[in-house]
Amino acid sequence: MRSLELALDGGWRVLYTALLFGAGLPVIYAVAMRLLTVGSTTTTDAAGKTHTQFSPLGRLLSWLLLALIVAGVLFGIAIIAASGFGKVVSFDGGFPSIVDK
Amino acid sequence: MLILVIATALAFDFTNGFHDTANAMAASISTGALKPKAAVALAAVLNLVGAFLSVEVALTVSNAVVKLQDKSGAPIPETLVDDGQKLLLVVLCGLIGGIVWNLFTWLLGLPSSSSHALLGGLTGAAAAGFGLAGVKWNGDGTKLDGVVGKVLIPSFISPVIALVVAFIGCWLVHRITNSVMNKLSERYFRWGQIGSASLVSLAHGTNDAQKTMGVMTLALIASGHWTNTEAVPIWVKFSAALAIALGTYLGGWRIIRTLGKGLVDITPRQGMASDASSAAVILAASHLGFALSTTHVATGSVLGGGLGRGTHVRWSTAGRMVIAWVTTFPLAALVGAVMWWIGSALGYGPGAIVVFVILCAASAYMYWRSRHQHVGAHNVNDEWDRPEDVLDHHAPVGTAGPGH
Repeated sequence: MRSLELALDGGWRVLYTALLFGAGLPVIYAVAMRLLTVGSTTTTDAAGKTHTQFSPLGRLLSWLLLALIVAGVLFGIAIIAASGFGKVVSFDGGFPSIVDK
Repeated sequence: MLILVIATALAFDFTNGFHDTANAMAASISTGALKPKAAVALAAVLNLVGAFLSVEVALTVSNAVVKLQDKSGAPIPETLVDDGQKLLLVVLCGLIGGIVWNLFTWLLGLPSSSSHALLGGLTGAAAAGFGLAGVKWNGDGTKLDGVVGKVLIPSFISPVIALVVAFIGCWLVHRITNSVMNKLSERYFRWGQIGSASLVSLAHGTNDAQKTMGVMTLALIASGHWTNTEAVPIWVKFSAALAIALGTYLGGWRIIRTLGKGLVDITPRQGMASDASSAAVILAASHLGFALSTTHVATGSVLGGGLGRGTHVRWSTAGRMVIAWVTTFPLAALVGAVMWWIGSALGYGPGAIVVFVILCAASAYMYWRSRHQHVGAHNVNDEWDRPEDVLDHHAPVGTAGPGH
């Protein structure tokens, strides 16, 4: 049935895109969290509670990845908002900007 | 009658709001990433923003399932009999079908698709008023269209996609962070949850408010009060955006509870993966022109996240949800059709008033029933023991003990 073909075709495309962002971004976030622990030291105090001190390197690495995530999200929103207004996001001139379609 | 239609459309938008809050916020509320009230406030604001962000006119909303409008969104000439009064009554009855179903599923605490309820109601009313020939089952076959293409097929495919994405995301997140969780605080992932849940709310706002705007504009065009098929009146945009935001703030706690506690237990990492999956699927699909229901996607994501973590899934609750989904379109259509038969039998003017009164009565009744087992911000996170039977007066919410 033609509809089923169309549906599966559209479905695959949604799946790929959604996998990229929907699974990709959490994975990047998880990696960012993992990098945060690079060079960290964990101490246990007298009461048995553990405290973790993160190293500057760990903090830097994870913040870089977080910035990447934020950029990715803003980019995605810009694409969607732009098409809603009948425009597209273009890279002419090296910097993303919103121009008429 | 136009006023009744507009008021009813806004009422539908309102129910759409509280019905779908759960899609974005249930996971965050369930893990404590956001306090209940804060969550619904955030969702309300983002829905408001999202509603304005996407200006893409969904004027042709009904074209998905019925032949009432042409490509530009103007009503087909055949429908404009009786000065457009017939079309107005059809729209009114369709909206009522959607609202009644939304309230019913809310009463039962079952997440179901507001979009399908609206489309179902419109289809039922249109079929009753203009004949079955006016229903679009499959479109012209060149693209996904009609009841089959835009309601039926996405109902199956979209939750599956969401489930797969959430499963993979959640599983990977756990694999990556399990070894360092003794140093990391769950708090970081709760922050991640807030971010991803916000995206879902934004995505929902861009998706759902447009439908009501489209219906309202159609009513205005049909009654001759608006002629521009390229744009939506500003006040329509404002009122629809506001209605959905207010409804979102109200919370729909019953549904939040089911989605956040009734299917699987949710932890921050899992919730973050689920919400990210929902947001991505909703945004990707609407951008690619694939129709879907935000509710189906959110539920699929919650299930996928639960499976990804390997936790217990309450399949019986999932089963009840699927039944609600499958029956949404036909039953909303039935209500729409019945409302049409009642309304048209009494003449347009009086008929509109009578069906509106029926709507108010049904709404009041269901609201009254909901008070028997009130779910609010205070108990939305109580332990889930067995699916509450909301029609059972003697079962308090959230009790521990042997189920029966």
